[in-house]
Order: sequence, then C-alpha cells, then structure tokens
Amino acid sequence: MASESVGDFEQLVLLSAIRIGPGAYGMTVRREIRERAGRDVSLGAVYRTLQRLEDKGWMTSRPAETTEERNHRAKRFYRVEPSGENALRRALATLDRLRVDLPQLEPGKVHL
Amino acid sequence: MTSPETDRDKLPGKAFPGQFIEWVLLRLLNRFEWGNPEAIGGRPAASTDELIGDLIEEARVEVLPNHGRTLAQVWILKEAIRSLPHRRRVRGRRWVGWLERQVADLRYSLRALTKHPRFTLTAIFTLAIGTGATTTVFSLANWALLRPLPGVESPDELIKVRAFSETREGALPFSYPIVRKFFEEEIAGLESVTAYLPAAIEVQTSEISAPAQIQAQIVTPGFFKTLGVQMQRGRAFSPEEADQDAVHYVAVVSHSYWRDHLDTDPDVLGRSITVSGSRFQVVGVTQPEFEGTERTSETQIWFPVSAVSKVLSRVPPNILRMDQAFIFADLIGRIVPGVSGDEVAGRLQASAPELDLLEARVTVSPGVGLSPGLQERVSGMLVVLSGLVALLLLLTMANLTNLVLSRLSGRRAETVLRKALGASPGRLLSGLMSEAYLLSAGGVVVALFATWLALQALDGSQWIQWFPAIEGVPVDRRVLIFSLLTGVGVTLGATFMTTGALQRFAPAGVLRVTAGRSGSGRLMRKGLVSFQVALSLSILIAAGLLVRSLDQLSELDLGFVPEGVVAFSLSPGTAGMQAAQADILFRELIVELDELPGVASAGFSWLGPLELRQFFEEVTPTDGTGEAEMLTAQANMISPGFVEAMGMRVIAGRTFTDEEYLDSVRPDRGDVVINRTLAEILYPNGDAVGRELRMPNRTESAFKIIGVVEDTRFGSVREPTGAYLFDPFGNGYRTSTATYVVRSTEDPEVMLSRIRELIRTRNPELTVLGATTLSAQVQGTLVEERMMARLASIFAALAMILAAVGLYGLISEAVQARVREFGVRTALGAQPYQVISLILREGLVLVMIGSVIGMVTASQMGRLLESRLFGIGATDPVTFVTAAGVLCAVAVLAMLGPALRSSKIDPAGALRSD
Repeated sequence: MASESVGDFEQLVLLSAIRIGPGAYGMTVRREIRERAGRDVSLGAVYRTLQRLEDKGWMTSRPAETTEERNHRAKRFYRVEPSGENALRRALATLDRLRVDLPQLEPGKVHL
Repeated sequence: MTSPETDRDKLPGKAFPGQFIEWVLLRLLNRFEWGNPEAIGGRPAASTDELIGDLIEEARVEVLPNHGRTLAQVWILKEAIRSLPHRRRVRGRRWVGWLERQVADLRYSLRALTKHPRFTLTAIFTLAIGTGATTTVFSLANWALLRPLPGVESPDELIKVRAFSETREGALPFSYPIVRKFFEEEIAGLESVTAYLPAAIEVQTSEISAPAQIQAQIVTPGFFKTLGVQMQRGRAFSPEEADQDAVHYVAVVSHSYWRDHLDTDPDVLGRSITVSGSRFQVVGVTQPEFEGTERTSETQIWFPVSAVSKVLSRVPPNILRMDQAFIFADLIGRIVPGVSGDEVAGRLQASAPELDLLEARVTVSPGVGLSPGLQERVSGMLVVLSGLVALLLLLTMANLTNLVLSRLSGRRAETVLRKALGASPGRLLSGLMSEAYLLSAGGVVVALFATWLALQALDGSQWIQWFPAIEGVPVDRRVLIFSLLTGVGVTLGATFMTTGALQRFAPAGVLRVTAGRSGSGRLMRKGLVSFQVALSLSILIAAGLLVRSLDQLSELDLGFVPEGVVAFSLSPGTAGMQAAQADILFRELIVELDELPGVASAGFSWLGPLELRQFFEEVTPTDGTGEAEMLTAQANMISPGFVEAMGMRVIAGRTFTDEEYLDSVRPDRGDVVINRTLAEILYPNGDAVGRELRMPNRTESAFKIIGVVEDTRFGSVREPTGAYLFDPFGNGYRTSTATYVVRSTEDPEVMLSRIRELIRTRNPELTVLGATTLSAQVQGTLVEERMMARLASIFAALAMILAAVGLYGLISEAVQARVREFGVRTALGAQPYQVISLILREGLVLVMIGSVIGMVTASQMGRLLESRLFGIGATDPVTFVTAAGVLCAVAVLAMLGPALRSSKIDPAGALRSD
C-alpha cells in the first residue's frame, strides 16, 4: 500500500479535489484543473482517474442531491480520504527531496 | 453560481439539450462501452448518467448563455466523444475503420490528383461539359414544366377539367349555366371548382391616364379560394360580388400591377381603375409570388364574373344566363388529397347528364399552367434536347473512361506493387473510387458554373412561340441534386468500366513494368475512341439536320416579300367606334398612309399575315363542267394596295387597285382575286381571269375573277395556304379589326412612329396593336427551330471538342509508347512524312470505323427528328457527308500535334532511352 506510487494525473485530481473540498465532482474537478493547471482534459479522463483513486481507497464517493440543471441525472460527490492525502504527501515529499539544494527549482521560480 | 430556479427561468432550455441529443449521448457512451468495466479496467465505471449529467450541466451554465443552443449541443457531443476511451474510439467498430480508410484514400487521391494536373483538369473539364449541358437542359425543363405554379397552395392537387365531343375538334368551352352546375353538383373527391375567362383589356389607372393593355381574367366565385391564393392586402371577391344578377364594380390586382402601375400606393384599396369607361374599385392585392394561372403570361387584374359585360364591351349583358354562350375555356378544380384524378374524372363522367354535358367525354388532367398544345410543344422540344445531351453524356463517360484507363496505365507499377503486398481488389477499387468522387465533385462545381453561364446567355431569348422568354431560370435544389447525381453517376460509370483493366495487372507483371505496355488496355481505349467518334458524329449530324432545316425554312419563297414592311392592327371597337365609323376610318387611313413620306404602298386585310385564324368558303365554278366539284378555299378580305404592299406577285389580270374599291357607296360588283392553286383547280386551262365562280353559302349570284396571284405562305411559313380567295373590302362584309401592311423605304421604327402619330391625330383613343415588322413576324414563327439549331450546334461543338481531346490523348500516348520504334525507323532512313502518315493512318482507321457507326446510328436517330425537319429528309446526304468531313478534319487536326512530334524524334536519344 505504502509503496503504491501516485501518477502525475492522479496528483492533479487529488490536489484539485482537496482544493475544492466538499462538493467535488467530475465537472468541478475538471474546471479546477483547467483553471489552475491550464490543462484541458476530457471529462472521461477525470472520471476514469476518480475511479482509479477510489479503487485504491484514496477517495470515496457518495450520492449527492441532483439538480434541475443536469436534467436530474445522477450526481456523486468525491472526497479525498486521509490515506489519499498521505499518498499525495509522500509523492510531493519525494519531489521535494529530489529538488533540495537546487536553487533554480525552488517553489515560485517558474521558468516558462 | 445562480440558483437552479432562476437559471431555468432565464434559459430557454427546460428541454435543453433535447431528447434527441440525450438519446445520442446515451447510445454513444453505451456503444463504446463506457460503463463496461472490462473496457476501462477495474470495477464498474462511474455511471453513464453521471457523465451525461455533468456534460449537460456545464454546457448549460458555461456554453449556452454565450453561444446559443446549437453550439451548446455541438459542444456536448464533442466533449462526449473526447471522453471516450481512445483505443475504442478509433478501432472499436468496423465503420470507424472504414471511415478512416476513406479519409486516407481521399487524402491520397487528392495528393495524386494535384500531382497530375493535366489529367485532373482534363477530367474535370470533360465532366463539366457533359454534366453542364445536361444540367442546363434539365434546368430549362424544371423551369418550364416541373416547377410548381408559384404562389398557389398545394399545386399538385389542382386539375384542369375538359370536355370533348365527337363533332368538334379541341376541348369544348363551358357556358356559365354549365359552370354553375359544377358548383351545385357535389362530386366526391372534388373539393371545389372555378372557371375563368382570360382577356386582354385596356385599363386606365385614372380617368386621364393613357390606357395600357394588360392581361386580365374574369373569374367565377371561389377562384382565389380554389387556388389557395392569399391576399397581401384587402380581400378576394365575396360570393355576392360574383353574383350574376347585379354588376359589382370591383377588381383584384396582382402585386406587380400594384407596384408597376399604381406606384405601390399604400391606400390602393380605396382606388379605382377604369375599363371602357366603367370604374372598378380595387378590393385586394394578391401575394407577390402569385403570377396567375398561366405560365405563359402574367395575369395582372381579376374581375368578378358579374362584371363580364362591363369589362368586355361587346358582350351582351345577359351573357351569363345564355346556355349557348360558351365563354369559359378553362375549368380548374382542386381534388381532395389522396384522391386520384382518374377517380374524379370517372365521377364527373357519371354526372355528365346533370352537368348538361350529355354527349361529352369529360377528362381531367393534372396540374395547371400550360395549355395542352403548348405543353406538348415544350416537352417535344425538351425530348429532342434531352436526347442530344444524353448522347453528349455518354460521350463524356467514354472520354472519362479513356482518361482513367490512361491514368491507370500510368499507375501500373504502383498498382502491381500494392497488389503484390496483399491489397485486395476491393481496396484497390476503393482508391479509384475516392479519386472518382473527388473528380466528380470538381466536375459538378464547374458544371454548375457552366450551367449558370449558359442560363445567363440564354436569358431573355425566346425559345418557343407563345411561350414566355427564358428568364430567371432558377438553379434550385432540384437542379443541384440532378447535377450531382449526373456527375457522380458518370464518373462512377467510367470508373467501373476500368475495373477490368485493374484486374489484369498481375503481380508477376511487376518485373515487366517498364518493358513496354501490353495490348489489352489499348484495344479497349481504341474501341472507346471509335465510340466517341461515332457519338459525336451522331450529334453533329443531328445538329446539321436542324441547321439545314432552318436554312430551308428561312430561304423559302413565301410568295410575299416581308422585308421593308411594317404591320399593325386596329380594333376601333375598343375605342368606342361604331362599325360604320370604323369602315370610314379603315378606308381613309389607306389614303393617308399612302401620303406619308417614304411609303411605297399601304393596304390592309381582315386576317393578318401569319395569323392563326382562318376562314373558309365553299367555292364552285360557274360553267359547271362537272369536273371541278365543290371545294373549300380559304377566304380573306383585302383592301386596295394590300397585294402591292405585301409584295405578292400578280400572275394574270389585276388586283383591287381601283380607287372605286374605296368608295363606300359603290354597289357590290362581286369581283374576286384568287391564287394560283384555286385557279388551277377551277380553270386548269389557265384562262381563269374573266371567268366566274360561285360561293353558294354566301349568295346565289356569281363572282367575277379579275386576277390571279401567286400562292403564298400567308398563314404559316411552313406550308402554302392552298386554295385562297380574296374579296375586296366592302363586298358586303364589315370587319371590326384590320391588319395594315405598309411597304416603305424608311427605317421601320421611324415609319411606325409616323403611323402612330397619324392615328393619334385621327382618334386619340385608338391604340396601335401588335406593331412590328413583317420580317420580325416571319422570324418569330421560326423561333423554335432557331433555338433548336442553336443549342444542337453548341452541343455538337462540345461533342467534337470531347472527341478531339480523346483522340489527341490516345495518339499522344501511342507516340510516347513507340518512341523507340520510331527512333529505329528514322535511323533506318524513314522520312518524317512516313512516320507521320504511320501515326495518322492508325488514328484515321479508328475515325473511319467510328464514322461508319455514327452514320448508321444517326440515320436511325434521324427518324426521331423527322417530324421537325423541313425540306430535307432524315438521311439528308449533304448533311451526312458534310458532318463526316468536318469530323475528319477535326480528327486530323487533333492528331497532327502528336504526329509531328513523332517525326522529330532524335533516333540516338530514343535508342538509348530504355
């Protein structure tokens, strides 16, 4: 379990879901990724990742109340479990360990 | 985010994105197994429902307000497709793969075509010729016959009711009492009936304005309702206004009359127009689309039937009650949808006794807009034109086949290689097809442009007498579809013809690719070239026959000299003149016309030249030897000066030259002038002048023959009149109309303006009708022949171009393929002319074979044209020989280029080339 690594796109989805907090679902996650990371991903890709994260036990979902706007189609909220947060933390820490002593890669210094 | 409540109020889309889109989404996601765990891996997927819900929500919130419903729907579909697992998206289904291959093929073909611009352009050009000509003819047919009558509701439910009797030629007209029987008798399946009476009348838009002649119809109740014509302003006639008991002075005008004559007056409904001194109030303006019930002329004003005697001045007031006043020629009915015309005809026939049509055979013909005679002429002409373009299309296909074959032999190496690598025949064919699609697309586009140009060139020209000039022929959806089907059909046909050649490319041949060409494909190509020559010769002969026939017609001796003569008619009754006054006017005008500067002679006749009306008289000789029994001759009444003005030739005796024939108080002396045919029948010894004849139907007394004139083609250019007899004006007959002919040395326009001025001074209310030159009138009767000859000639020219292109292509390649042979020949001492003649001989053999076939086909086809030919047979040798000669000349010209090239081959280079 602890050795399971977190993929690049999984990191994006986890981070977005944490940022959104309660009320994260496919559409909002996709929007968050688009707005924050500037990546236009397909909804299908988001949902596939959400499922994979659920399979790994890092996220859970529960049915949410549907709305008129979505023509009363099913809606689920996704939440990042502590195990998910741990996995994400591990992944980010790995990155931090690797970039220590590398001033050009310090946070905030983005060379585009 | 706004609350769902306000969103729903604000957005139009409670039904967004619509059931259909949602259904498509569901199908799409299911088809690509969105929910199938195996397709994605892992446990059952997030429900399809969820995904769709998200898409709808985002589209509604983010896309719909800014971009509208349609774009939002497109966005949803696009995002749904993006969401599909990639691997499934492309290879999941067979049709996706098929589509992918098609796209690849199209791309490849496009690249191949742009690499061979000469082939591509020739193919597109060839295709455009055939398709363009066919589309042009179809557009004309569409315009003249197929397109529904504009401004009329459900035109396919309209029928024309006609009655025929044994004893009379042509359809029987109806009297108003009979028409009323149609209204009263309920015929199952016939929703309503209406009748109308067309009339050319003179209308003043105010008391002081000049009268203008316009086309009007006097209509029975329910006319506009039966046709389903909407009024743009005002109303149609009310039932009371159609009543026969009281005259109602009301009128409905067409939109164009309102625009052109009433200045689009917004208060038009209060205005009135004046007809023969009576004022009619305008109560309605029809919709702009409606142009009347006739395709041939636009109707501008409608009057209710109750006004008939006020609109038509010489109609008795009680005409609507007269059983024998057969004034309505046209009866239009609307049938209940789903009922066939035959059923209605049967029921009408069954009700014939109640309809007072006892003896008659009642028929029903679908559609309105053209008289049957005109319909026949229009379709007759279109049939011939279609035949010609069908040949041209066949020629196009042959040409295209030839082109594709030549292209295939160019792609031989590639094809063989692909075959060896395992490409299936279907795959190879598919490549060819995609090239065909591209070519036909290009060809159709150019063809449509050519059609447009052709219609532009034809615009305003007359093609059939009495039929409106070609104008504003639409390139509508029907034409577009027709053109597309023709273009694609021809290209695919040509491609399929070549599949045989494709199969012959055996993989083993890969080694021999460059070792010269095998004969099988070339044999087919040679056959095709002969076929092309045959086809184009057939078209050329058909055109030649039509042109020669027109020549014969225009060089005929008419028996009169139309050049230098202007003609016009007077109908003094319409200006309110009594018959006696008209008599005086007719008489005095001759003298006054004679005195106009430049006039050589002037006269008039009762029936004008080239007029459709005829009048017959029974004639018998007086010295009754019994040999020449009673015979029928056409009769006409002429004034002094008429024979001279027409330029008719007097064979014996004299004509009515005396001034005394102009004397109104002169007693009837009973003189007549007859034509040669009548003279030869009555008195074969040539001594007719001075003898007598009788017209027993007219009077007991005898008529003295004072002169004999040469036969004329007075009634129709196509045939002499036969026995003809001229009465002097005043021989006991009076006429209400007269057609004047004035021979002069002046310019016709100048002459006509002088004549108009003269008549205006006589009586300002008199209008000069049908003013024209006699030459123009003669030309006018030949308009159909001229149009046919013109179009056929154009088709023939196109056919020759196609044949020449085919021949040129074949010979060019033949020369190319035999470079080495010619090199050897030249090296061995062959002279250039020998090489050239070698090439020419090969081509000419094909041309000869084609010519023979072409002549045989043409002689068969000529029979179809026979009824349209004048003065020549369908196998006119002059036409056949000339056409063949022209074709051979063109063929030699086409071959000359490549042939000359062959003589310039450098032997050393040629021998080294392989």
